[in-house]
Amino acid sequence: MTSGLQLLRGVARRLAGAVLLLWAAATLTFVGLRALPGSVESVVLGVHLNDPGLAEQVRSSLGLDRPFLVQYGDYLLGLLRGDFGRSYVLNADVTDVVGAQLLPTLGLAAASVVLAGALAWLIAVLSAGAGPGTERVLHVLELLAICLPTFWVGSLLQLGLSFHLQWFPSVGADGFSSLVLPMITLALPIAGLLSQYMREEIALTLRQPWVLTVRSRGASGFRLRSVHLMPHVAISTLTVAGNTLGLLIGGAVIVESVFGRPGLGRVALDAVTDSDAPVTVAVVLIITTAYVLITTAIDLAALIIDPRLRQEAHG
Amino acid sequence: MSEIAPARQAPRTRPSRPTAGVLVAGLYLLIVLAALIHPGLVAASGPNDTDPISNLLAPGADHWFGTDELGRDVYARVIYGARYSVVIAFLAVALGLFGGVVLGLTAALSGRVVDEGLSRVFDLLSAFPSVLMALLFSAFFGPGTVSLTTAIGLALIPSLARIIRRQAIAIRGSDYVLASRTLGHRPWTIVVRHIFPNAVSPVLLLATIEVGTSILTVSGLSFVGLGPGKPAPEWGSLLADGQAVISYAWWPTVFPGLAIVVTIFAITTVGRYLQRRVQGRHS
Amino acid sequence: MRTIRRLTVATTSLLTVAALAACSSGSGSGAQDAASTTPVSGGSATWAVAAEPSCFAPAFDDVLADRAITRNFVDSLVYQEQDGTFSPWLASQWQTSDDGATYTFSLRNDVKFSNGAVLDAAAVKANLDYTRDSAHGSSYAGLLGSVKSIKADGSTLTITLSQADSSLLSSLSSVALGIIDPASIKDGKDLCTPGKKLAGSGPFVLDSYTRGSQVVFKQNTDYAWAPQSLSHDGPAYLDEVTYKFIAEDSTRTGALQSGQVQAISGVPALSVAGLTRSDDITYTDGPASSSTFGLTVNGSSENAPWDNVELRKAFRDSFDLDTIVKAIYKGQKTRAWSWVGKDSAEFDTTLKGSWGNHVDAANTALDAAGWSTRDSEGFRTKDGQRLSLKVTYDADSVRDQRDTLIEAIQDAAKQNTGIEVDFTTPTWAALSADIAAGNWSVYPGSYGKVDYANSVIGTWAGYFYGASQWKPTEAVDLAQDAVTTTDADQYAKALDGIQQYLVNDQALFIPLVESTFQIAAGSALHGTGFDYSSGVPDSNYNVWLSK
Repeated sequence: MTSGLQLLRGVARRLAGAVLLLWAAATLTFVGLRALPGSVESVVLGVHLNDPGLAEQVRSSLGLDRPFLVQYGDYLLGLLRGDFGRSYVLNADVTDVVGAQLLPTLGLAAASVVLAGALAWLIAVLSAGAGPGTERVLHVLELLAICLPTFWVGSLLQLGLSFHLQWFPSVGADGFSSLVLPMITLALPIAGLLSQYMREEIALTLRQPWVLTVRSRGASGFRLRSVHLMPHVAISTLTVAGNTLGLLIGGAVIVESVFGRPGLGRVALDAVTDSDAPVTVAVVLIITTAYVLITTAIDLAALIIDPRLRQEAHG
Repeated sequence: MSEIAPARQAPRTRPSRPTAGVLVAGLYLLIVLAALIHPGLVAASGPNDTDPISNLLAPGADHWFGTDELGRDVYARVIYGARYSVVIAFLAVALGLFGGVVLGLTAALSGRVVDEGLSRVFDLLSAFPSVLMALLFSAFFGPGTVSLTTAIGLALIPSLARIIRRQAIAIRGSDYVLASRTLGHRPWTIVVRHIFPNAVSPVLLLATIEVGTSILTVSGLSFVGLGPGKPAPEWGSLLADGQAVISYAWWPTVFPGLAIVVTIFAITTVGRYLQRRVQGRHS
Repeated sequence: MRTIRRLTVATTSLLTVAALAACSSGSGSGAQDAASTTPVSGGSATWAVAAEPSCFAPAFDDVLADRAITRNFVDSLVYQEQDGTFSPWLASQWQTSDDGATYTFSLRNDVKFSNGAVLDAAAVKANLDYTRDSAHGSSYAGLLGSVKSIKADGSTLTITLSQADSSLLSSLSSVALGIIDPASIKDGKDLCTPGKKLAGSGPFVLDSYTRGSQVVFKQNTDYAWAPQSLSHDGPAYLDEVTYKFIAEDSTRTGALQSGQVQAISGVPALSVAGLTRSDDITYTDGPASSSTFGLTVNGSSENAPWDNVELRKAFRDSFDLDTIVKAIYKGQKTRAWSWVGKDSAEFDTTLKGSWGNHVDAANTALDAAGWSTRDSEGFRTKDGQRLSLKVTYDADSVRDQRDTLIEAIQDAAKQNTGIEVDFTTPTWAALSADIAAGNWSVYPGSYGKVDYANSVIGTWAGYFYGASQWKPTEAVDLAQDAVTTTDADQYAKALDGIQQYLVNDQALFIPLVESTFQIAAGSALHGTGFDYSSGVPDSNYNVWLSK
């Protein structure tokens, strides 16, 4: 079998897997959404639950009185069109509620990942091959960055850099200056994780035979680490980066709440405390979709870069 | 899902003797353990004993960590809080480990169809990171300890199960299993005697480290109100309480925060050290 | 965040007597001293508020605190003064028929909505008719329950009642019955999310709204119909007003201290000392003229053994509320004695000192009721059953450290009398289902600025006891007396009787603290104050920034 065909098959396989996954996630949340009888009416009606006729009215306006399969079909079709139904609490369509929150969260997440990546890269390149003392200090710092609770760091940064020094606004999402503190808060643990990984990866790569060749051609240590090694390290780090997505999502929920930023995390949290299941489900599905898309993209990238994986993908 | 990366491969030097840091961390964990089993030994007062007259006292001889807005001893609350933060994290990891072992071994030792199916299940589960899972569970079953524990545990299953599956498959094909088979041992005996211990033991240490990560998740979710609820002195809720009085007093915020950081740090340090030792022995 | 949605909902408006002075004292009313300096126009101010409004349309704006925001773009027919009297606003004058059953309002004819539409009697009628039709599901349909018909003729609006109802003006002065452009009123709850369609006639116009973050208002440059009793007319002083939604108390206070916002509402008591230490910040506590915050205890047999009044009284007297409130709120909040706020004319002063903190008597009563044995944790038991009281407070409604207050009572009740207080914070959905089923035990809450007599009927006959056999009939009967009498003394006597019954005789309501709203503002911001129709911070019409 030719390598090109193998690649195509691998890609098709991964994509089919992703679609299957999304369908399963949608189905699972749908079942959860409908599995609790009576809960929807009590969320919408509160103490008016027992008022005559109101419960039926709510059921029919939300389409809950139709056969299960019809509801399920409608739900899936709705999802395909980006329609998540209507919020139980907010008097608005879920798509409108959630849609406006997408960009702020994406912006925060992207900025944090870029910052974390840059930090980790800088630390890794500057420190690889340094003495055991530096190594140990960095190790402790990285671990600390990972162990620090996001909400704690967030409020301490707020206290110090916003309330006291007044360098950055403490809340809101107006422009870059309001992004700085949330971004740092969210980036810290990810930077710790990536830096740890990169440094180990560099240490391993440095012992590879081809490195000796490059070195013998007279490349300096810094040049070697930043130019020649980086592509190798970057690819393997990419696969780890997928793991940090969970960290990013959890962090966003908390950071948005501490810094009063609009965003998916905050909306989801409000939805959970209000028992507003359609909004919760929408946020979860959006994040899951992002998660699946990103991991699939990483898989595919690895597949294209590293031919050995094509065999595995096949077998 | 493993957010705190385990130490990978054998490091350059093989640490046979623990460093001072590891010893201190180990000692600290022993104190935490004592606090878990018998908090009364470590803290003199109860976590919920209010004394409104002496509220918000700064740290001092009577109250090492000061008192909160109800005059409760912050030190006692932090100590008793371990029973929530650490125990929930531990139970969640135990759940994840149990699920991971059962599903991982099943995938490795059953036929191709089951293996393939379970792999899809792992994919599905891993698309819901712990915080997302916790949001879903809280939405469907209401926030609280049970939702929190189950959600974090479920989210841990796929990564653990995949590792166990990989290990089990490797061991299944190893020389001594083949030898054991030629000696006529029954398949079940082989699973119990060879595959189970060898596939699971490396994961146990990884799971230890996951307890640290899970403490972070538990306290974070409690902080935003999805935890055990009042008056439970869970560390994240303590921080949220402290946040409310921070313009007045720093101690209700700082000490629970330190408890979280130090505990996770200690667990990770000791966990990684043990992992290195075990790997060193095997290689 | 939905404390009030619950209960204002239940008030079915009936008749009340003439003497309905809502808030007389005004001890905490202190709008800042704006007279000493001359207001200047221009500038933009930013508020930080604790919760994002769940709805911006008056008919569905169920959370009391949200009215502070809605008031900026919604005017009312009449204006409620600090002394509880009413003065002209959108209506330039009105007459009441001799039997009190017909109100004739003459509307101003120069009022326009912010989208250019004219505000005439037909527009007001459309608003009121929409709200009072219960099929539309407005929580405030009950406020217009006594209305038989509404007639619009040019700028004359005639409201005919089925019987005299002197709470009508009070209702009409509230944001709840504020007037918006009727063209889009059929959109109902879709108007909750602010947009082009939602147009009011207020001093500010909705400009932009970012869910989860903020809402921005721009000055209504055409505004020329402010209530006459205010210190100025014409447009508001500020060009722009922003409300940021910051749930975290410490963040809100920090934002004010660092000058990132000019004013905050919902000021945590513990921050007050820190805030006022600076000369740059002024703090005002609003009028205590609404029902107080306290524990509503289910007295029906579904809540056994707490259907025994002696047990309820024992619990009520098992803690030292004075000390607890002083400690938690550092002197910034007043403990409550009654269900009625201390600044209200209806407050029965004889309740002061009449109950609470009688630990010995409580223990004797509990022993006498057969709860004389103790379990291993020190709680009282009877026949192996622990004496436990379930307190459920929906997580969303918790504010002002009220959960901390309940925790203090929880521990005091345990130490002093061995009563277990099982305190949980479930979701509102779960809790409301329990209340609807009559399956509740203790609900902590405050019921907002209400017509007290109507509220008793709504809450203690319908809301809490809708599903129960037993009802606090005596209180409900007294409330009926209060709403139908035309005699001020009889009204006052009925209200006194209700308070004695609920708090003293039956311990069905255990008052904890006075429920007030607070404002803290930077010294550059002047003219903040309270809206006396709701007790919440007022619109920014009088507010100005010194340069």
